[in-house]
This record gives sequence, structure tokens and C-alpha cells, in this order.
Amino acid sequence: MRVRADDLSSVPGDSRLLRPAERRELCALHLLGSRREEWIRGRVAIRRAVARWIPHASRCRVHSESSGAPLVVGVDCTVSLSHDGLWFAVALAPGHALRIGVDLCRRVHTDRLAPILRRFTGRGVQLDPVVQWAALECVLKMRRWGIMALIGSDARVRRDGRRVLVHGIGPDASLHVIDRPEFVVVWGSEGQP
Amino acid sequence: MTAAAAVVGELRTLIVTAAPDPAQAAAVHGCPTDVPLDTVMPFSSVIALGVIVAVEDRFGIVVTRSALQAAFAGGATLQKLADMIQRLRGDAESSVGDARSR
Repeated sequence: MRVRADDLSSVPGDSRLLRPAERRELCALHLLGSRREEWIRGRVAIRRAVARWIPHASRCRVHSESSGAPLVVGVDCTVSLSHDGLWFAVALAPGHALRIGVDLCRRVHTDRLAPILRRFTGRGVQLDPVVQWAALECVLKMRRWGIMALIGSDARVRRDGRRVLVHGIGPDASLHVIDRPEFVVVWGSEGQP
Repeated sequence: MTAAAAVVGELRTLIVTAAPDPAQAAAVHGCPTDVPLDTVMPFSSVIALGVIVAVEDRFGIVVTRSALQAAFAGGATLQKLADMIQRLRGDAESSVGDARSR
């Protein structure tokens, strides 16, 4: 599994770079302004990751599943995408044996995350709120679960060096974490159920 | 101004205040009430739940799991959030009334 985090402006936000099917999807979504540009950049970032990490990959396009998760069509791989403000992270694993998740959370959210964790999770703040949130979101993405799965859950989150361990929200998960001054990225993978 | 319009107006302000990048959220000030908020601004889970915390504080309500599920189903809009607030306010007022009449 490969992961890249970068500045979103490093990826072009030009809709002419989209495949026809991606362009049709964009039209149907009726996104406006910065959201539209963010969506385009996300699609381009995923296709660039495929080209970089899968040797001799054929032409592919990105389709959104009903959950909103991106699905690469035309190349045998699994991807996950996260963006927050000016930053994005993309994760990719060859084949479909694994389900993967990545979450990038900016540190600017620290003060709003503490009350959210206290209000909506059974155990409240257990460690750095940004790391905790990114870990929980990563698990939800990996399992294609919506945010409602987190509400009132008894999720227990523990940091162990460069890993975060999540218990109590489905099977136990051991995730990778990197800290940067502006953001935290958490990613992980597990076998398909 | 109707009560519903006043709630929508307050919601617009709460959402822009709760967003980490007010400039990106500014479009909420003028967007139609039935448009999914995720189409006009980055309305991630962090921002959405931050708005719910702010709504609970401002309106003195407790947003239940089922109310949240209904408001977020198919994408949260100003109208759905305003309906949720008014319904929960009504429930809160009627339960106070029930308690007083007992």
C-alpha cells in the first residue's frame, strides 16, 4: 500500500483533464466554486497515483461509489482519498484483496474536535484529538461506514509510536500515523470481509 | 420574518463561523435552502458535527441520533437542519409543558 500527502494546488483543477464519464458525474453533482475544483483535483490526484505506482497501468477513470468512495475503473487497484483545506492524501493498493482507508486532518480543527469527540463518542477525548479523529475516520472509510457508525460508539483509540490502535468499532484496527506541523495523516488496510 | 426564516438565517451564520475557512464557507450566506451544503462548501464530517454542537448550544436542544440521521440523509441542507431544529425545539417545549402540567 502506498500513501502520498501533498498540497492540493500541486494537482491541476482543470475540468478538461477529466475523462468523459468523470465529467458527466461532475455535472450531475452540481458542485460549486471551491468544492467543484477540489473534486476535480481529487480525481486527477488519484489517476496520477495510479500512473506512478502501478507500472504500465492502462488508461483509467475514477467513479464514485454510492458511499462517495472513489473506485478506479480500468486498472486493478483499490484507492482511498482524503482532502482538507489545501491538503490531500491518496492511498493505493494493487488488486482488490484489501480494503484501505486514509484520512488527512488539519491541526486547525483541534479546538472543534475536542467537543465533537466528547459529545458524539462514548469515551470522549483519549489522545491528541486530531490523531484520534483521523484514526476514527480512517476506520470508517476502510469499512465504507458513514459517520453515524461513530455516533455513541464505544471506540477506544490508543497511540503506540507511529501506529494508532482502534478497538470497539468493528474488528480491531492497527493504523499508521504521520504527524506534520499542519496536519495528521492516518492510513490502514485490512482483508476484505 | 417567519420563525423558520430566522432559524435559517442563524444557521447560515453558525455554519460560516464553525468552518475552519470562512472564505470557503461564505457561499452559504446566499445559497438556496434546499441545496446540499456539501455542494457549496467543504462540509466534511468535522464541520458537520461542529455545526451540530454549535446548534445544540445556540438553540438549547439535544440533537438525537434519529434526528441527525434524518438531517444528513441524502446530504444536509439548510432546510433539513432548520426543520430538525424546529422539531426538536417543539419537542423540548412540549416536554416542558407536560412536566409543568403534571
